Amino acid sequence: MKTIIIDDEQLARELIKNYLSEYSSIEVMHECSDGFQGLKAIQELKPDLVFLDVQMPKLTGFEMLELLENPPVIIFTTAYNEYAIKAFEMNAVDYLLKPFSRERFSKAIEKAKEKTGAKENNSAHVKEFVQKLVSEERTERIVVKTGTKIHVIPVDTLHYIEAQDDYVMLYTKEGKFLKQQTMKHYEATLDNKTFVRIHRSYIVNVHEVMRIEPYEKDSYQVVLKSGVKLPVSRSGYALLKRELEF
Amino acid sequence: MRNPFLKNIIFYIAAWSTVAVVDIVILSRYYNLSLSLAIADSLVYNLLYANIAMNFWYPVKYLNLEKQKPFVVLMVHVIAALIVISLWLIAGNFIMNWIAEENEAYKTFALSAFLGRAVSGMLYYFIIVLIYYLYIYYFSFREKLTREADLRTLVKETELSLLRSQLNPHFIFNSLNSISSLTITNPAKAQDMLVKLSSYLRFALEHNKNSLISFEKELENSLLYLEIEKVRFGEKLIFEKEISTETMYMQVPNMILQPLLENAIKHGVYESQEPVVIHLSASKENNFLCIHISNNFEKYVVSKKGRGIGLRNVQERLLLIYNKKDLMKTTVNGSVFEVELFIPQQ
Repeated sequence: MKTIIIDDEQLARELIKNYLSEYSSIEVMHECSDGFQGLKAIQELKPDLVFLDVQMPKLTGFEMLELLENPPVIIFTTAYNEYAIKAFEMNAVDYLLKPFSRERFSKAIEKAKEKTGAKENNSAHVKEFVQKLVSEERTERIVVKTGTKIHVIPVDTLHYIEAQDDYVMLYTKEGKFLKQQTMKHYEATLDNKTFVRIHRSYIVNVHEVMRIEPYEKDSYQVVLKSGVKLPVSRSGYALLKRELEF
Repeated sequence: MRNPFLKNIIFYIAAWSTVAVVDIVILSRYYNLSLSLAIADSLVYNLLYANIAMNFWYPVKYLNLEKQKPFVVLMVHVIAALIVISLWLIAGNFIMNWIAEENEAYKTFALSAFLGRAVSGMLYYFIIVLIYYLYIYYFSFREKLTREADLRTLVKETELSLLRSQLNPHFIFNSLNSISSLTITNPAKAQDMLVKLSSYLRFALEHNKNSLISFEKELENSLLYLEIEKVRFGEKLIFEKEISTETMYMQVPNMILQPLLENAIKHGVYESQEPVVIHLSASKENNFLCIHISNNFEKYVVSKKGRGIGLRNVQERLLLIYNKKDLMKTTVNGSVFEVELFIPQQ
């Protein structure tokens, strides 16, 4: 079994390597100290198992997983013991709370070995789990991939979001980015004081709104600072009215 | 605050109606006035008084008992009462003369009742003013109670968030994990780190919330914190210090440096792949201890969260302890973040 260790602390990586030295069947292919490197290594080396820290520079472990189409078996190693743990358990992805014992570590390895057998299932599990985790937290930045490039978009630079079938289009000053995600997700996790669902197909950043004007009879549209005009539904108008207090 | 009688106008009307009825009974029974005259007299005088008395609210509201001498307040009220009662009697007399016209019996009565009326007018004045004062005191007392409760909650919250930031679980568990790793590869270093972590935690737990300690002690503890982080991050964390010796015995609030260093590490080291230089300097300027901390950070990195909580905590504490604003200054200079503290000395 081939594995990669991703953690920004050298001592943490060494501990895992040391614990792994007892397992002749597991080979450590690579070590990475941030999410970008980790992403690259996973795509190139295609390991069976990854040890992944959550808090790392540039890209967190969760954000990195979100970008992977076919995630390998993941064992999280983290110092966080908040709500995340419950989600881990429910979705049968293993996690190790730092610091962890050799016994606990070997249990995780056993689980991982079982998982690699039924890998198809696991991918779906991991995806589902990451979705769930990400949706419990307030979105502060959005990570998207275009070709080989990774863009980290701070949410306050977003102008608006447009629904496109199974995807959403994120419009920013730098351009537009396609992301596999639902409107419902962003409606739930973006700060609803700033981001308002004005229409079935649109969520707008209220700081970008220049004016709201009547459009045909009984309906409205918003005009953004960039000049873009977006339709406003009846319920969207009520939400805007509440957030902007007019 | 609004006139309480305006808010409870029904009660006010009821009270005056009672007085009016009692007056009618007295006038017709003891002064032997005809019922119609008794009713007219009672209505005129009481209605007039009820209207004038509404305005007693203003001297009460604007003449603060706490700010003015009691004698002044008393004099103002006596003079106000005399003026009000004179006006009341003149107006009442004028209207009653017009109603009763040439009724001799009423005229005799009015003359004999003059003194009694003046005394009762005075009495009414002071009763009403007293009610107003009671109302104001009851009201401000209740307000004070809620304000005190609010303040207590605020202090508790600040304390709690302070404690949480000092005993950052993320820091503790990651340090313990590093120690766990070192026990295998380098037991001596593991022991050293464990001792450092313990000393740091003891200091953080023992500290009394707003007590002052010497800068030397505070510095010692902050260096412990930095050394622990240094073990975790190795070459990625570079620490430089420039401390003038005369600052060593100066007084600082307990645990005031650590949140700033933690902030530098969180936004510098945690989010960076390149080495981060944390520079700490301290000097004496006039009657202040000036502490300067700077760190470089990766500019394009979008930090996830937690920005400013540690800094705000420090600012709130300084305000609470020294009751002075502008004791903390932060600046961003390209990719260098700087924070300055000005700690007043006795």
